[in-house]
Amino acid sequence: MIPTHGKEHERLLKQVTCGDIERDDAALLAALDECPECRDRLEGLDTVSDALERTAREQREILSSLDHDHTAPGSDLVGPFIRARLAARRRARWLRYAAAAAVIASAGAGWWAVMRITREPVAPHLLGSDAFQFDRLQGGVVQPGPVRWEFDLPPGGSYGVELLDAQGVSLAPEERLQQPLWTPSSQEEERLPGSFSLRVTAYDVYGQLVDWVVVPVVR
Amino acid sequence: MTLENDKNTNDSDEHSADLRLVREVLEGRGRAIRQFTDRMGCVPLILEKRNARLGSFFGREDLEDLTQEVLAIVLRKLSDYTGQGSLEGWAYGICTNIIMNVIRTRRRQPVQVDEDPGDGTLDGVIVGDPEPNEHELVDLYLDRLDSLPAHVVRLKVFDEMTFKEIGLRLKIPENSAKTHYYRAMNRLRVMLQSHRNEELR
Repeated sequence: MIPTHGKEHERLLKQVTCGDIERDDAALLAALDECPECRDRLEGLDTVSDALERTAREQREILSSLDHDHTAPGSDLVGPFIRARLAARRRARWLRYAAAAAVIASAGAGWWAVMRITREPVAPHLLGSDAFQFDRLQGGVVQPGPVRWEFDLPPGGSYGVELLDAQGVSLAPEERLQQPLWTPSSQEEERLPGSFSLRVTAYDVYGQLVDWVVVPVVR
Repeated sequence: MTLENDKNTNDSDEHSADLRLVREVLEGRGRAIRQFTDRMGCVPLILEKRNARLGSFFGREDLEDLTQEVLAIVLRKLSDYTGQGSLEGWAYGICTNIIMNVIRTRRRQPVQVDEDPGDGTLDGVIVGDPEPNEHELVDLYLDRLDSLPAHVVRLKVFDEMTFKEIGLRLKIPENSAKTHYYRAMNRLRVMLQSHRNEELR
């Protein structure tokens, strides 16, 4: 009966292949004697081992016998070929860097454009805009009474204050102010609804609109 | 420390220097590129020697083409070079693979005997093209293995290192080095056997 080629046989083959046991090891000889699979495998491993040894020997012989002063066919191509390929690779790398820089620049320009657009008075600013800082701002609304704000107004500039109802309809003509302070008159106080908005606009010395903001006011 | 250990330590240092050189080439340093170009002067010399052992099957123009083909692969795979062997040894492996591939490709082409350029080839087809030897096949198959087992085999056979030294070099236990080696040898055995079986068909 032919024994099964199992773990023990594999262990022996590994040991002999790695040089951990000798060829005349009793257990190995017994395995080889009784197992045809072991014999086949070891023969194949020996063939591979011999082939590798021969390859390594040939490589060592050839590499140690290289005469670098000798010119072989293709010797004159080595320098120009390597330099050209590496230069092309560097160019490709610079192109990649340039493309990446262009993408970053475009993104930056886009961001700047978006920021610029959002700073332009095409739509009312939300309360708490960076440009206008209101006094007595609580819970997102301006408390009743005199309304103060801070704004970096250009020299010679002025403010315009307009009262708007809940639908954004003007309740009274815009009032021009030199100081960042609006105090409703007693008549206005009487006429104003409980909830309204204050549109504060900043103008430069030429009367050109600089910025604006709309803030809700609760009385 | 034994003389053998000294030798392997020196080899390892040299290979580390080769790895540094390759990294500097990849960084585009001029001095490194000049040094690397000088070192790669080995490629046409290796091809010429290998061709001589094949009985000068390749003509002069073939060798020039092969040189460029090998250099193109060397440059393409440069970032894969891990310093596990010398630069020349690494280039040698690529030369062998290219030669084998060209021979295999030409064997598949029909022979045209009416146009003899007189350089040992017939219209680009090798006359009496060499049947690859088992050792050439094994070298070719070695490159088809996973990188770690292939490294272990190369260090064991080509650099003549012990498993202990391989373990230290690759930072793996000695027993793992043996396991990788044995598995690689078995893979090569099966590949070689399959080739033989195909030849018999």
